[in-house]
Amino acid sequence: MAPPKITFYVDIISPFGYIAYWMLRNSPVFANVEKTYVPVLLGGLHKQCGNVAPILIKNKDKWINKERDRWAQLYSIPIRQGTPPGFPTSTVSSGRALTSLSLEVDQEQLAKAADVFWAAMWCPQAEVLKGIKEGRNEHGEFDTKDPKTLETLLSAVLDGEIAKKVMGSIGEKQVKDLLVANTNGAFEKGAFGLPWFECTNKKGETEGFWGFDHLGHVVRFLELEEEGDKGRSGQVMRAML
Amino acid sequence: MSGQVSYLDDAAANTQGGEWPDTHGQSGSQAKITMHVDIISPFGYLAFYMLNNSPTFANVQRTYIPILLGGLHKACGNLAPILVKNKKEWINKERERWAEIFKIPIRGAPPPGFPISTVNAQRALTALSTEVDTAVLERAIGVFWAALWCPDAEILKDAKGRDGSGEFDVKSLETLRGLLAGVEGVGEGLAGKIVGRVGEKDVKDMLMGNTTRAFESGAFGMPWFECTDGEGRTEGFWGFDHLGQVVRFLGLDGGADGERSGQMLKAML
Repeated sequence: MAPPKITFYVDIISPFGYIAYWMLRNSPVFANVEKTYVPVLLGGLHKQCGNVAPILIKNKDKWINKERDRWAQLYSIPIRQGTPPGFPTSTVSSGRALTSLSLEVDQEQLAKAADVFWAAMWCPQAEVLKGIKEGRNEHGEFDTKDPKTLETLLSAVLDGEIAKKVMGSIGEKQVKDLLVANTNGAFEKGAFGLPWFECTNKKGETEGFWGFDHLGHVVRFLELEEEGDKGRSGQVMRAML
Repeated sequence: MSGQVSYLDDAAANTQGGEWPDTHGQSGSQAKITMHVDIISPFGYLAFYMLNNSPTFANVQRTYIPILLGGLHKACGNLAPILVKNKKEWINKERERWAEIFKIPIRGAPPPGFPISTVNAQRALTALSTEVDTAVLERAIGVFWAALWCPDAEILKDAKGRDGSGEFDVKSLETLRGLLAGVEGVGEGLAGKIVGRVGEKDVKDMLMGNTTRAFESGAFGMPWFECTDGEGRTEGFWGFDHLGQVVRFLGLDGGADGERSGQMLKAML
């Protein structure tokens, strides 16, 4: 039988996207799942759906900060306190960089780039950024809007020539169009926010799930209860939700 | 990334003896949940059903406050999920998923003409809240909620006032009167009085006041659970899908028995 699959949409603007991505990358529960990361623009998706970003809704704007802390603490996910300076910032450049990169490298390499981009926004102190000396401002922050900073981040985890090529291509029509097409594709698949998990189980059935708080649905649908080892199984993970 | 997965080690340690992290709430005074009610909300219905029927919440002191969800959304600048493309379809699926997992009786598709006005029903519940104790109010809420979201529910077996297709028109004062009359502890006399008060200024104002206070307490949607643990700490939680957080915060993990424990409930989320 084919392995279970998750298609996961990436826009580093989303903190819940970050904690969900962290789980997919680090939890043994998802180790044997075939994961595909697709860069999108969350703002574009929201616009197509007529959705409103949580930070624009009174009370919910405060609740999401609390909610983020709760899950991060419960699952020991490294994340910054509060939101990045100037949040929400534009992620068009980072989205285009990941899109361009997706044309050059395989999913494993793409995920390495996504690791450092997500962390640069949501956890500048992360282990994965420890070795990166350049690219931080005087406050230790990475300006993820800045193509030069993005190139530094990419060079740290990928071949320097590829990093350079990718950053040189973010203004190209092909790249811009693909990011828009990815976003449209997410909309057509039923997504209305991030994280969105498009899941295909071993039987070949496909369903979409929304939200970090619905990882239990994902585990159940993909039958991952027994994945991972004792204490780190999908069953234990579900019980923490 | 770092590759550390310590998040599950603690849980592993805690499952060894069949014990879960017992954070707080077991000693001290009784755990409390205040939940806002507007029968328009299907996820509110699911949550209300769980609070009233799951043994996990049997020893929790529950308080229900009628509000207008539309008014709350407006105050927050929030949008009803059915106004968001894709989310509109998703909420139907999501409702079915939870109802199936927790075996909560609920209709398939939304009620005819959904969304409909619940102003009359909410005003009736508001008026009732000034006349009866919590247990009676809870029963009336259960009947109203089922009338909209599960007309085949056991509690409506003998209810009068169905239309030709077996539905209850909860906009109609006559239907609401009939439903109230059938609630144990209300009866014909009080049902008539309550429905007669639906247009009164003090009832309208009280419902508005409840809605405003819901907003001020941090709610932006439904279900909203305002929880106070045994040590007097209060936090708000949103959504049926966050009942696990409620269970954890109130220390209900070890409550109830066997497969009905809070621990089991959490594992189903």
